[in-house]
Amino acid sequence: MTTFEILLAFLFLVAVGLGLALRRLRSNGEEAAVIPGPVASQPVDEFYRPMARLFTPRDIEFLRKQRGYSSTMDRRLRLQRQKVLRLYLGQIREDFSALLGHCRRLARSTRNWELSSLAQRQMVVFYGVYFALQIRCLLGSFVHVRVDASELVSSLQNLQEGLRSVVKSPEGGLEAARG
Amino acid sequence: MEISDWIWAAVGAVELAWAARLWQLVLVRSYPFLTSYLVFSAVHSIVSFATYNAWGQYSVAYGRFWIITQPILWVMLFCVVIEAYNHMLKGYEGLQRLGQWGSHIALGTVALIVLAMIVLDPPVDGASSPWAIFWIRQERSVYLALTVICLVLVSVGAYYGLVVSRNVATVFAVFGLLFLSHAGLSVFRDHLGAEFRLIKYTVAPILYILWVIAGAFAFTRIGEERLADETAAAWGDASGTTGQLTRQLESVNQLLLRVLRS
Repeated sequence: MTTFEILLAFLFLVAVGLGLALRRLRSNGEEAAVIPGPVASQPVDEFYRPMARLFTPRDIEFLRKQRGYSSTMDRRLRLQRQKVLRLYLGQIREDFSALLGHCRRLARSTRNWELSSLAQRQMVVFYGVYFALQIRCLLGSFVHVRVDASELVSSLQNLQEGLRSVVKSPEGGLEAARG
Repeated sequence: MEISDWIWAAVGAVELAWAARLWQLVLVRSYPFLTSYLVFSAVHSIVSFATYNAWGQYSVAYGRFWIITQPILWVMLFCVVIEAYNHMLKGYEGLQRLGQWGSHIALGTVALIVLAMIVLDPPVDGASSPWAIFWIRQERSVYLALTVICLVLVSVGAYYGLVVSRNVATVFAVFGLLFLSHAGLSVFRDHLGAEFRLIKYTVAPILYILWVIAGAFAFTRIGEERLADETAAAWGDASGTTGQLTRQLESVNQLLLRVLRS
């Protein structure tokens, strides 16, 4: 590809992006009122804890010690766990997006600038870990991988706490959720 | 007079028309950078036209004038975009820090694109006026950077669901299209060379005139009002049925007030 082609492709993408962003900006006023979902108040730690145990080597070792063990069983287990991990990841992403949506709406109506700052930080952390886990999930069907979803859950919790502290006191700080 | 002469004159005229419209709508204080840019650019067009006609395109006088004034115009364009961005964030105090980040990202984008273009472009040997060539090449980088800045800043507003006035949306749309068309034409000019230069110098001002006319027409006094004064509604109230009902009542009140005023 020449510089000319790269620049043309880049300009085309920018033009499409600008068009879409401008269209969305014009339709922002038509947005419905905010009704926070249950994820804003529910504890998430317990719900997502099993994620970390999905690819634990102990399960594989236990399976290997069983009578009639075959490599097919090992592979089947990995595939099943992979499916479960995908479901968990999908769910946590949905929860995070919902929470982020509430933070965005709240950030524009509160005077507290820390909420938008916290939301951006957590978004970067969350999606960084999320995509890394997706890749590990893909590799999980071939090799043993370590799945550490604690950062994913903690970034969801930080956002929850930030949201709660602003709802309780719109002018207050977010010390508890700075994480 | 040739067609190109008329185009030069028309550019200055439409810019002055938009500036006059701002003055007529008492919006000069709200948009000081936009007004300054329009007036400066109109004067620039007229002086460029006079210098070009008196001494020619390749004269030292015209070259010096272009090298000195063009960067000023680019800086002013950047200020116009930042001004619109500040208008977009007005009333959203919770997003002020984000606003600062947006400005920093915008500045970083300019530096990055200009640097990338310098690296990508092959060096020109034996150029009679290396500064002129440098600035001509920077024209493409600057418009590319300004287009990306526009995209980043509008995306911030779209992402946070900010409610902006029609005038602010007009500034973004008009200048976004302006930057995009200039960047596109500059890319083609740099690739196709002298053959395309003549087309560029005719098409670019015509498109510019069209965008400026659209901007002048779209700017209105009512266009300063936001689509819905969302910032006034407290989030806590909006979290339930009470909030929704309050909003509905507010919009009915606004409608009644408008009817009474008219």
